[in-house]
Amino acid sequence: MVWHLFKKDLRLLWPFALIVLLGQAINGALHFVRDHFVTTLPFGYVTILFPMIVLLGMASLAVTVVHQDPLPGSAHDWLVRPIVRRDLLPAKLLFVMVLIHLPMLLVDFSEAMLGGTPAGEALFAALNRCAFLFGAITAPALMLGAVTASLAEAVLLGGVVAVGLAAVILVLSASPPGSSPRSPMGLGWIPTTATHVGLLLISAAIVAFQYFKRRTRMARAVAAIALLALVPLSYLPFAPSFAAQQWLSPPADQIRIDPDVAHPSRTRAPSTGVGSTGSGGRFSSPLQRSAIQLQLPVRIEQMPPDGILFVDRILVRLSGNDGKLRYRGVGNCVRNLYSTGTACFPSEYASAATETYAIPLQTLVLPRRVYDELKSEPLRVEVDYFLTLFTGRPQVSLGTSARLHPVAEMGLCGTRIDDDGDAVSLTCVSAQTPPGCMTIVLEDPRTHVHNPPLHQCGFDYSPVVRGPYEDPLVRFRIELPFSDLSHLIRFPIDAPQIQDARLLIKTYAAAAHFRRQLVFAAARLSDWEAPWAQVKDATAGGPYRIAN
Amino acid sequence: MIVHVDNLHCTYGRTEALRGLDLAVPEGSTYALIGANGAGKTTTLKVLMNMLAPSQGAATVLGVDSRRLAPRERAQIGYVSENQILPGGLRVGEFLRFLRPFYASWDIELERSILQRLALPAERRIRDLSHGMRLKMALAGALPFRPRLLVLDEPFSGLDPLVRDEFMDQLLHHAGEMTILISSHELAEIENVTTHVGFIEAGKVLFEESMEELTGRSRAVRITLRRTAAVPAQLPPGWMQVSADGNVLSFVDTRFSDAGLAAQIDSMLTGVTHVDVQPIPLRAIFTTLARAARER
Repeated sequence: MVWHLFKKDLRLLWPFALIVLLGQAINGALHFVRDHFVTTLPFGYVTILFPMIVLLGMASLAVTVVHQDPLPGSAHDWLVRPIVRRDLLPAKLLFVMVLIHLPMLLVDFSEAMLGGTPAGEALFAALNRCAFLFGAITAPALMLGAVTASLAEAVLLGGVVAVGLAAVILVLSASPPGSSPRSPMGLGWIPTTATHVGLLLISAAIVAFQYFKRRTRMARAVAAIALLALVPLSYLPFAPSFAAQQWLSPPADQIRIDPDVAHPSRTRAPSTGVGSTGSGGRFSSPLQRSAIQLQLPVRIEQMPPDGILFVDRILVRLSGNDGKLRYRGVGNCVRNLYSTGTACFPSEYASAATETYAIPLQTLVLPRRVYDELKSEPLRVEVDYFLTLFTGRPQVSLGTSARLHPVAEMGLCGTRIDDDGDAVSLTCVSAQTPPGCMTIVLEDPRTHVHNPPLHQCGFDYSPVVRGPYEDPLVRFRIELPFSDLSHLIRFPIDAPQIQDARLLIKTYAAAAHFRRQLVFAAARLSDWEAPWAQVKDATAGGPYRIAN
Repeated sequence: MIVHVDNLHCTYGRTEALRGLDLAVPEGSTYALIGANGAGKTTTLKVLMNMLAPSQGAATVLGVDSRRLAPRERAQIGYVSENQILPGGLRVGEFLRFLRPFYASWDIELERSILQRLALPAERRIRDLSHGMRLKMALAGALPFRPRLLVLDEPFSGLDPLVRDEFMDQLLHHAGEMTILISSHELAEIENVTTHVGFIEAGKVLFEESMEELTGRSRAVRITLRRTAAVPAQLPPGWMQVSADGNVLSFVDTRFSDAGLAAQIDSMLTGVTHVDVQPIPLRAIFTTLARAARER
């Protein structure tokens, strides 16, 4: 009877389903045109807004198909018919799969394939979007449909729930940004995925409960409580997120990080506190002005060639001789910055509560007042590192005016001189998560003269493209400047050489996630003061941007 | 009993719609559940169909707990209600074709004949049908599988006389084949087909009995006296709607028997010149009992 029920719903809803299908096809076409033909800003806005309308249409269709045989109420004809409920639910799911997700899969696959993505990658990306939107849109819409009897009621209830959840999120987000315990940067996909999985499970449970028990009031109450309980999941703390990431990652046991006992102690230099009053306000924020940078004697061994070690977070504990904890600090890396060898600079978003920054591995930034108080005391220093190893991929090269074409590990990439004529714009469309980090340099292939390299990171450790609401592909663009229009700076590869130059691109992918602990049994902070160290400006992030 | 209800309670929020309702519908009967608005008739029928869950008590339909009615039992029950929501987007013919596979006993010839008798346009969408046509549509969807039990909830509400006649024709045509449980205010319409009556008031069945017994014990009585009549201070328990007009005393005797009435008159009244005893229609019995219940 599943097929029979499906056909009845199709007979009733085919015009609506056709509109949604056309919307999906147009959406795919719009994105294809944006990637390959029209790059104007207004058209870009259309490609952002139109998918939202299509998603709304999809959700409405899912709600409406459930409403063809509504579960709340006691006046609908189907209730008195010998219709098996275990047939009714699969019939609705079949409708959603055949008329929403199958067309979506085909459109997404076609869009990716027509753009030049290999078939396997295109299919994977289309399946990824299909699964994501089922969990994020269709399943919750089915749930909403199961606890309401009309579209108007669904809109009203959906609105109330959305406002309620927004209020809770607003309250939870009201804490100072730096003190938020949520997982930063590359790990962000874990709480997001956990939230979506939770949403899917709640939706499935409520839909099943309604179809087999039909107790609407209880279903609504349970759904509201469960959705509220889901909110904290999106604020999943760093530790479980990193543990999950670590569990998914291959081991990196060979990499050793030890105290460098042979390292000569540094001589303490006066008034070198980073950002101290005397140093002329090198740092813009009060937090940065009150910080001091120390150089830890650390030795890193067994790094793979082409490897970059990135600190996601550090925990610092300073204990006195008596074993009493004198200071505890947490530092997060939260900005998309990159530096060869080690990564992540202090930023505005470092933990305001603990005032400790995550910065290059050997570097430790402490609050000045803590340093001033403890600098001469013998201390036990424990540093917990949460690390990610990036490994390099083979270097690729591109001309400065290349049409979109496949580039290994990056998707389809093209280059052009920007409208101002002072930068090369590299644009990539990919069916996979973009490379974690990359180094790009403009070089003259004949003389090998090159401009300063541009290092960029857009940390995302997600194994698949995250949140593909618009379409299955992800896009990113990097501007590589080569000319200073004010003529104050002259680049080795400047405007006259640009047509013959090429871009050398080296990408890095996250290969392993692991933890290490450093313990200095008896250290004196003043020995680690680094008078020469300058914390780079955290806001100096490049134009590396993930557009999708 | 094809339907048996025992101490049924049903609550909406703070309103207790059913308060210990008992009911027994014999197989093959046409059982009229009568009662004032809000008495609990629709709630009772919805509980029997498992459209509503009872808060206490139990009901069995076709020998099965109403909360566990399976498709096998539902395939033997027809249901028509004035509030029934049909899939408006389907055409009349499409809806019936949709229903066919769910009923092993669906008779296509019977379906055609019913469509013809009820003058239902097969190509019209259900949402475009008038209220009366929609009720006929619901009946057309409840008869072709020859149900063992047909449940009708206020089926005549808002129907014009012509449609009522068509509806009743169909019912009468099939009345012998099945048990009919009907709740209706239109007592004149159902009087001729009803075999049993249950009177429901404030969520309880006050009495239920066969139509024969009910009409047999209910009489309109007019007693003419030599002098001016007055309503006696103490009335026998079966006398209702007692009134005096000139020298005539009128009432409805709901516990009538020839001997009983004669004895009551002898003991309470003097100077009786004439006694007129007439059978009364179901509608009059209902209004008498309903008023009496309300006055209590």
